[in-house]
Amino acid sequence: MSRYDASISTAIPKPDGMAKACGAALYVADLKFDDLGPAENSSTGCVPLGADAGLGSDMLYGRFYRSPHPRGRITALRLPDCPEGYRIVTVADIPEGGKNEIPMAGAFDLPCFADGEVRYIGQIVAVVCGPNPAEVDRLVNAVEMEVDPLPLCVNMDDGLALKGGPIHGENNVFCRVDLDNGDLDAAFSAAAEIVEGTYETGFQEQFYMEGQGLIAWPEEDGVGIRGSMQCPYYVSHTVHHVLGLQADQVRVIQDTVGGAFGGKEDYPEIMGAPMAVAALVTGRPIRMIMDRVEDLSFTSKRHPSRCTYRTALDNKGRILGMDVKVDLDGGAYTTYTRIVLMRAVFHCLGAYNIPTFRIRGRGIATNTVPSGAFRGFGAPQTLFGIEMHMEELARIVGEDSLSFKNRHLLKQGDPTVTGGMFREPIILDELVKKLEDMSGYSGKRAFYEAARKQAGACSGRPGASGTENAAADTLGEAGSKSYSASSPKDGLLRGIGMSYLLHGAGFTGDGEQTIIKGEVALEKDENGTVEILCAAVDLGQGCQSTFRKVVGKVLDIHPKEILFPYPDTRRAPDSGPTVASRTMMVVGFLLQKAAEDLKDIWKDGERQRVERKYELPPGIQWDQNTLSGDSYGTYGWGVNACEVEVDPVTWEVRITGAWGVYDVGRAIDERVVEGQIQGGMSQALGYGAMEKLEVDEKGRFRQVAMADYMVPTSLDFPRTGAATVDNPYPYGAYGAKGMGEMVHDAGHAAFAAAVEQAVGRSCRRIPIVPETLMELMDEKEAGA
Amino acid sequence: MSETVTLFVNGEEKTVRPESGMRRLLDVLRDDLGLTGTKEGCGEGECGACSVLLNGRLVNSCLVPVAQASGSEVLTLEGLRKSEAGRLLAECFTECHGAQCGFCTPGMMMASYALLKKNPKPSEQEIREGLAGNICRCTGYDAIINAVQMAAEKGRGLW
Repeated sequence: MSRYDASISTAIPKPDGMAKACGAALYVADLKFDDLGPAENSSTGCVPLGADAGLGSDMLYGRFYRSPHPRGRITALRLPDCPEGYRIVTVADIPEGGKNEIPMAGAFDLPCFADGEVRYIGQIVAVVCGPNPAEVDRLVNAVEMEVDPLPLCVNMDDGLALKGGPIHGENNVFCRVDLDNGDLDAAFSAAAEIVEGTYETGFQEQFYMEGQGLIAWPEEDGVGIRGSMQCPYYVSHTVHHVLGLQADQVRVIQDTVGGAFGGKEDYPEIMGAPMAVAALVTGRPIRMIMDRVEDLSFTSKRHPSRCTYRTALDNKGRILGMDVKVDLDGGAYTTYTRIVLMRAVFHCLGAYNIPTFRIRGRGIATNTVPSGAFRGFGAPQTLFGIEMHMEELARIVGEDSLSFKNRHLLKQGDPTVTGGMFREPIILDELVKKLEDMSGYSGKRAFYEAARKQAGACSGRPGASGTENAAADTLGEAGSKSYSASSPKDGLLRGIGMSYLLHGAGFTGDGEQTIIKGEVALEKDENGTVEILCAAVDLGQGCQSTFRKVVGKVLDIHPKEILFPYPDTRRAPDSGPTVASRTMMVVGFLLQKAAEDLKDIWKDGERQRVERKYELPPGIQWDQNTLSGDSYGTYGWGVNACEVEVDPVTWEVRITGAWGVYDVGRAIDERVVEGQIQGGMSQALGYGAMEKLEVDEKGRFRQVAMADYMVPTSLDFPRTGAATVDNPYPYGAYGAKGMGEMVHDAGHAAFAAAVEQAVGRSCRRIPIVPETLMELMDEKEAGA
Repeated sequence: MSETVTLFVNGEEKTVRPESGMRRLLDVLRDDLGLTGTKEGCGEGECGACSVLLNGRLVNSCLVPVAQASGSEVLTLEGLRKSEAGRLLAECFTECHGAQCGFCTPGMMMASYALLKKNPKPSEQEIREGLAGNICRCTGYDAIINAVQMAAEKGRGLW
């Protein structure tokens, strides 16, 4: 055994890097039908396919028959005759004792197979399976379904207007989250000024590179499921519920996951349950790999949002109170909307101490694909709202937005929006200082502001010639020298924007202590080899590295000598899902404690096993009924900046700088953290600048091919300047706090603020693509 | 199609009998020859996960009908990884964390190799252009560019 004396933050090469870079890592589509021997990539911990999994060359191809109709009562479902060896599996095939419902975060309205009614185009009606994929396709196309159609709701306005009658309940509201503090009416009565703005965000596709894919197979007394997923135990729970089995009759195995970002949190259950029914009915293993068009068309996306902020300001430009409405488009079934809405609402005041507020949050039903989990889980939507509103307030007060925001920042000991307390130090001032050093934010901001004002004064229109010299003349002490040289007279409009963010780390509310109750285990063999057993999945975010480092650090064993097999529910305890920025902080901390226990009892030459269960950190209190107390154990913090240039003819926006500085507690691997910051920034900037996803008049997504849905390429954005400042959290692994999501929380807001500065207009809706920017400029000019 | 198609894959002669000459080279590689290092990301030539070298040229194998590749030399990651250059590139990807989820990585490896063969000392902009046909959703590309730069530095004379 080699010792491990490096700092926990010092980067190591990724343990799964060589297998991935050599093409030896096996993803679910790579598992062979005929030769299911041990996997080539044992170094990555992949559980080999083999005889014990009951898989062989009798595996069938599966494909869903999905509803072609958006909404209505099913009046006829005509199935074609199947050739021998083919089968079409529907709701009628759910075994006795099973239930046609996908349980999801306390909601049960989504059926496994459509039964009686459909609520969106693409809803799963049947599984068609058989040995030849072409014949399976033919059978899928031969199924006929008729409905008694109803008018449909393609957006939240339709949903709230109850077009066609309610889809869900009596009012199309899946859930509400309301929070109040102080006397808001008094705040508005005392206001010197009242400012209102509505901010909107669109759908966003996770765009994991590997499409959804699973294999389901019958076992002697149950079923098995394996494939690409974030949460093996979520899949297990749903499948045993649908099939009416005991928990231990469902075995779930994770294969190498080709990206997820939340998109493989809920969908593997929605996909896996009907496949499990089909595997039981046919007695055969079934593999389903979605192609990109099916995946883009029918898997869950980020909830579109519309947030209205109304703010009372006093005569010194201080915020007296805020009246906030948060609406999320939940799609056709509840799925995760309730918990996404909770996180959205709990983050809607951002990093600011707003003394008095009234917040009304709603999740609204429409006839579109149920919205689901995506990195940030509601926070990127409301953080866009609050950040853009703060920018607007600063403009009205006549103050630089950073200075205005700084006057309202949260401090240690301040109350949270749910009446809990920010217990740990808040070091946003240090983060901003670092951001300033890296980006030159304030100097650039002042320079671009002067340039824009000067241009506006010269011509009444932004982008007039002569901008730069005039700006340099008026800037004086604001530091023009350093920027004037790099701003050629090209007529482009330039701006830089920033955003603050916080992110509640771990599950919202009492999820960790009352629902998940995570467990981990460590096993040591006679030779002293230590194996990590937990259900956390490496989605690319690097827990194959960081968990080994944590355990290795405690035991003084080099991380490369620690084993960490991909989770198999037969061996790995339920440490909870790989979501909510909880993996490093919550599961990593359990592993650290387990390793400390193992160290205490370590005996050479013996097999030993230790287990650890989640314990709530002291002082945390939460009331799920009143939604009051500490909604999160702790928070990650960050500050982003983005710099742009806008072409005033084509309205194309080029991003010329991007920076993210974060308090992640402590970086367990600097390069892993840097990779998260850079990748998260790229997704956030894609969300803000290019990833347009709309629905048509039937509630279908318009962008269902890669040629239509634009994700960032290597040519679109510059490098992201990434940094962290240590602020260790005592109840996270070696001080680590959650960080996987907050890197996607506010880059889009910094981008939009930069565009606002460049064009001198409020940008209240993302994505900001050239056509929307052109419309915005035309609209304002026409109205001016 | 009853005719056979002969390819020279990673230096070995392979004869396959596809149902149609329009069968995608990607499917021939993955399903008929078991070379699953090549991935399918989109099936429409947009993402580059299925990149291979066809007679030394970088192509998306999902867009190549196998008949068109008849008699051609095909280099996949299974071939590249056996070479010193491939090994070095893989090590640089690992060291720089250029692979997160790893699904785009095989295509990135092939595109990086094709770039370095043509231009052993690429600038950052040239690397960005060389990888522009390959989508990565995890890294934001920074770590991949670092990996290519490291490989260019360490692998002088290797391409």
